[in-house]
Amino acid sequence: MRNFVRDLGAGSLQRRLLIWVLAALLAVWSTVAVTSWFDARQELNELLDEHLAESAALLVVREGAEFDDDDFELPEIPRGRRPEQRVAFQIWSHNRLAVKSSMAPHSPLSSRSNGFSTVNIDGVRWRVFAASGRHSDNRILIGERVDARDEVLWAMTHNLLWPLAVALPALGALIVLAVRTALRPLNDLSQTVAGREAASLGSLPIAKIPREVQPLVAELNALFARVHAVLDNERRFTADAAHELRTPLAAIRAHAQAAIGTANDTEREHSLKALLTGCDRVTHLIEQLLTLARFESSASALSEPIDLDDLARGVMAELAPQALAKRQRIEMNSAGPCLIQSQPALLGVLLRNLLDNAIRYSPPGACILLTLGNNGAPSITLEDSGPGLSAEQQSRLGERFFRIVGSDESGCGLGWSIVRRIAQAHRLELITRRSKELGGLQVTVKWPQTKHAGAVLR
Amino acid sequence: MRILLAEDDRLLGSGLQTGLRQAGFQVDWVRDGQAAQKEIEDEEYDAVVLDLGLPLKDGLDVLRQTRKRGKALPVLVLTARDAVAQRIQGLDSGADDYVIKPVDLSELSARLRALVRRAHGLPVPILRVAEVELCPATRTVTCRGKPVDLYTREFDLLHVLMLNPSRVVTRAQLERQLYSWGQEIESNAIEVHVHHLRRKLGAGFIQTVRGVGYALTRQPASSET
Repeated sequence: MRNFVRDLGAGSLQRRLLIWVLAALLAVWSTVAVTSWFDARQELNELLDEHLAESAALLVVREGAEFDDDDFELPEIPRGRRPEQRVAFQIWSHNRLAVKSSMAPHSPLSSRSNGFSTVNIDGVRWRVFAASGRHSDNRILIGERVDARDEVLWAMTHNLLWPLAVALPALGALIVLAVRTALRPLNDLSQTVAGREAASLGSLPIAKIPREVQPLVAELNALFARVHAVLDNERRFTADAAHELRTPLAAIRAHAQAAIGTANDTEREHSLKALLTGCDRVTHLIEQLLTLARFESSASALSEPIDLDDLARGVMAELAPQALAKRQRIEMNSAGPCLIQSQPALLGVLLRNLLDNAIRYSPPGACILLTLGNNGAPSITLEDSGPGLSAEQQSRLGERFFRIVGSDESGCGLGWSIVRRIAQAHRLELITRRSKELGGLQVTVKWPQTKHAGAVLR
Repeated sequence: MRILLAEDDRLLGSGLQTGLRQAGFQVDWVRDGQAAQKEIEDEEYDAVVLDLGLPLKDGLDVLRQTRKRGKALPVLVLTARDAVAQRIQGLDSGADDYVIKPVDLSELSARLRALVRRAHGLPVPILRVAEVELCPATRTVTCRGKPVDLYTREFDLLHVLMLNPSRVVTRAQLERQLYSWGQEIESNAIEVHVHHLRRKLGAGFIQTVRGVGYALTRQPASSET
């Protein structure tokens, strides 16, 4: 039942409202009709009973007059629309029927000697009033047919009900109209929203909207704004990425054409090597872009207990050949295992990007030092003896495609964007400053102190 | 023709330099905006290939300053900034051409040749003085309809002279336009090339203006044969 009621109103607010209002109207109207009917019947019965009693009193007054005939004809009464007689009387004297009206049966109308009663004689129900005559032996009985009474009641009820029966549909129609009119702003709103293009995320006009719906529309507008910002960001990112691909592609094209155009073997070899370098650069750029894109979907991956020392060592080992090729010294300082709860893959990406930057942007022969600290909360510090970064450059790290001006390295400017996003998701603190010991850039990744986020397991 | 290439990306710069050299240009390559500005002001180039996103000084600033100083030097902007508004801004800042990366090397060469030709007020792609015709695109020369074999330097020297048919070109100008940086110039190199050209094209075609330089004779050299 409850489901049924819910289903009734599930679709449209308008339908729901109409169903409830009309149902309530019908219920109230029926109750009122039934009560009035009972009321009217009560009133009518009382009124007619009074009439019976009065008629009996009149008969008592006339009792002294002679009743010539057994059958007493009632005087002609204007009967209106009801042709049949509905009232009958009997006067009993010494248990003998002295006088009766023509309609009255021969048997006593009632066995009672006094007051009202309802009896059934030969299938006809009578309402009877009994009274004693002037002589104590005389009994006056006056009865009225109950079906006649009912007829009156039904006529009254009919007169009462038909205007209401006409009014009900009219009222219903008016309610439908009123509900529709009242809900029109909502319909208009839904039509505005339905007619929107996927790309149109402007705010809905709030002024013409009913006050009750305004919070909803305000929330919708806020949502539109957020979606718009996200889309904008993505669009800019795609544009930036495409833009960044143009230069390496131009280089690849130029070298390929140069290789085709030359007759000199050395020159051709040089161009072909440059071609490979260009391909590597594009590959690197695409890998970084994919890392950023994948990060979105893997941000909620399950974390597991991992040993930072182990992880850092792995990343160092992975990138060491790159450093050795530049004759750089690469070292790690660690006090031993340091267990944390985290996502090893993402943390690996973060460390790899930091170390790759250090190797890339430090000159040949430079020194790179990774220190694993566990002073209250775990931290990883990476410093190098490279040229370092100015405060302005440090503040711009993490801007997409920001590259250090004048650097010969072919980074794509996405490494720090990735580092920042991973750090953000893990609530890690990133601190950059000039290294006191080595003079170059120093980056510290700090885990939060709280057990909740850092969850240091010793 | 001597070109200045301003491009900060090492890989792309080396590719363009190699490719443009193969197309017969002398290419000097700088990697930041300040160096580009200095070269434009100090040296003589036939055209500049300018990247916009240059370190130290943005390419657009280089372009604006060059134009502000009244230099009519043809500038081809080569950039990744591809929005229409950016192209309009580039052209309105004084660029003669605006090309989006990546670009085909042959197209880049053709555009540069066209820019140089227009800068000299020549509407036809084939240069013609008297009975000598020079086609920069194919790097071929004909004299009275017959093809003439020229070495690279000889061709370049003749090209410079034919781009300025009604002017006397000084020896210093010729040297600057024929040689990019770091190339050894022997003291009599220009004379040697002129000598060879006279032998191949007829003695009267290139005239020496003593103490100044060289000029071309515009009358047919019929008296020579």
